[in-house]
Amino acid sequence: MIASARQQYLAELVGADKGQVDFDKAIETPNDTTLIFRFYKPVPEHLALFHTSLTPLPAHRWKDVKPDEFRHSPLNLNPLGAGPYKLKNWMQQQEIVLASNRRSNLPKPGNIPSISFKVVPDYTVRLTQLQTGAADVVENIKPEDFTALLKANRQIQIKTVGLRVYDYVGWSNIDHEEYRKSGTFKPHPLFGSASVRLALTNAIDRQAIIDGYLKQYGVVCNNDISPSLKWAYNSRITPHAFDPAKASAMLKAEGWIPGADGILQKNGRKFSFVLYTNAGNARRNYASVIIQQNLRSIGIDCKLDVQESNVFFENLQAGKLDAWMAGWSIGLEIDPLDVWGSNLKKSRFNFTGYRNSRLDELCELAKQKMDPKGARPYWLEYQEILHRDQPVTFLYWIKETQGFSKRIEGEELNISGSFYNIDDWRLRPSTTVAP
Amino acid sequence: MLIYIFKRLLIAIPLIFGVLTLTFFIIRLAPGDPAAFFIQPGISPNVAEQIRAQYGLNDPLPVQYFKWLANVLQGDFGRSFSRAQQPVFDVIAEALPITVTIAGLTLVANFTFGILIGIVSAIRQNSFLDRFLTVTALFFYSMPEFWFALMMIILFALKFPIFPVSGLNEIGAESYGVFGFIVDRFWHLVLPVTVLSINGAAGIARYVRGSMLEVIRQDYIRTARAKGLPENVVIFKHALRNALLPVITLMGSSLPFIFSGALFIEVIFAFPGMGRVTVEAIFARDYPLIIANTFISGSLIVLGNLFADVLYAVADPRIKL
Repeated sequence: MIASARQQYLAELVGADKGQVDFDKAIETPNDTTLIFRFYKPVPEHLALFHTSLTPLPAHRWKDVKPDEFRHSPLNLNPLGAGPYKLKNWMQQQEIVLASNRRSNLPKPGNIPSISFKVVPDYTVRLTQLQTGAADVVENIKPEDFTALLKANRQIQIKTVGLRVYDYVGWSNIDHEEYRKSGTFKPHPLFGSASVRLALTNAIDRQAIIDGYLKQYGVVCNNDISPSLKWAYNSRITPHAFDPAKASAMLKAEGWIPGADGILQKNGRKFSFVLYTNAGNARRNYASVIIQQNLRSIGIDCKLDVQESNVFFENLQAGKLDAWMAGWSIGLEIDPLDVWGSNLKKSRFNFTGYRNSRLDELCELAKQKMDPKGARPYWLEYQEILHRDQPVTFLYWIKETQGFSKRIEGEELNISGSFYNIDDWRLRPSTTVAP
Repeated sequence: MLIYIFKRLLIAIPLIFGVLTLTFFIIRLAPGDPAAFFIQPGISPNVAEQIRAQYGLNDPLPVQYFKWLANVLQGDFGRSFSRAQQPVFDVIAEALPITVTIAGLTLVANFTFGILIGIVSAIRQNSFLDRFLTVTALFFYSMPEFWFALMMIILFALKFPIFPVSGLNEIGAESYGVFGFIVDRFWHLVLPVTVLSINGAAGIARYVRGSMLEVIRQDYIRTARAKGLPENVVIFKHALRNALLPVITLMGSSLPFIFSGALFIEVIFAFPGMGRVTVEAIFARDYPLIIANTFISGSLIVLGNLFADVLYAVADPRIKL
């Protein structure tokens, strides 16, 4: 019985090739501490580990729960584990208290006896809690607050994690309306040409957005393979420079000529569109205003519209937006077909409608390599294609900035996350009362 | 009077059902998908579909409505979509006491301070004190509450760390003992209740002042003074009782404001009360929870109004219900 949000990954287990996973053969538990998965074809170790990271449930607790009650069984709120920490108390939407699990040997009990995760919806209040010492760690501190925070409390330090998050401007590569109506692919009247999209990237001053908002916590983004994934990252790609003159020339070559009002026109159509983004994101608001100015200066009329997140996401999925600003948080395994795959029915997150058969092929080839390093040549080429075709304008990678009290010691933040080695953290006994 | 109360309760039933029906359709008309959380890379595309099927969201709207109606008439408001499929009333049972405590304290603070300030302003009409209180009341009355809340936090939790920033209790407050726990809880409620009540109190103060000034000029007050009664008795026994009649109606009508005020107070101060539950339910398009919350707050407001009307009749013997 498998009830998991990640169930599509079971497609490689024994039996799946014949239509139905044969769980008796595919999954074995020879003893209390061993779990064996059998695949019908060779699967790279890193992907196998990633795909089979299904949490086993203790049979002695769950065996009487009916399958259709799995999602709402109270046992979900009382998880049982054998790791460094166990759940002591969970008040939904309020706090989760973990206590060090003295009997853990996976790998050992956590150092700090009790850790409490609190839900504080308001950012200002979280910031205040960090400053007063009511909280020891607050994630995602905005760069504009660093100076005041560090000045007010010297016992705080800012730590960075990354790079896993990037923002981009999405351009509809295809005419989504035509695709919805007839299922045929027609280039989008504004953004259908790779040359136009490249011109747009050249016209946007990405460094100015970084300098103005993210400062040293932002890096220009060339494509969706993070510079942190060194084994796959293509360091020979030079970012497209901010060059409005080049952008204008490229647009002219594509037939976009300034009209009487200064706005570019082609066959009677003005280069005018709405750039949508989701509400409540100060960083994207900041970036969108700069993008609007940049584009205006080369004769493109870009209107801004902010939508409530649910509405924005629904419109994006329905292919109703011509241009939008959004972001992705990438996984540590590279598996980008969901976002760029040519089969739009399968690639549910290919909002741009970008299609490139070589890119599809590269993604498949990379998956077949048993050793991730063996896939490197494919990923290098993959990045060159994205760099050339600019299905979207990649803006910047974000170093996530986390506020830490200095009384926490032994923390090692890395790309896996801020709490990666939380069981090794130690608390320095406070000599004075926190201010 | 009992017949009157009974009649009002009977009228309240279709009223609340009307509100719920409207809510049912309005939230379904709003864009957004309750299963949207499950639409992301790495999650099987089947999951969102399974969730929609499980929630019955694939049925046509009228079918959904009648299914919902049949369940609600049996007292079953369903399970929350966004909170691990807990029954909605379990979620509300945890949240409601918190909001009722805040609302109750706010109501008491509203009227205590509002009435006191109103009386002082009225009996010292046009004095410096009256002008000062009037200007101050107007100042707080015009202040956006969410901004005021943040300013109070910055002032009393950051600059002068007297009160806690957020939450209902300190971490580990369970070990303080029952008395310590309750004191700690009240300590955490000082800032939010102040923020929520200062605006209302300022409004009530203006009402009481106006009403007192009218009453003080009446003949029976002159008579009372002429009888040689002490000023205290004149003000509190003769004037105040009459001046408070219009204020009682305010009690009923201020309930919706307190409930809507609780929405942002709970978000800012991180209280897991009805306000926050509602806000989060709306963002998550958690239909059953939104409707159940509307039911609870709608019922409380209807009952609050009824209570105010009854109180009105009790306070003023001229009114027969």
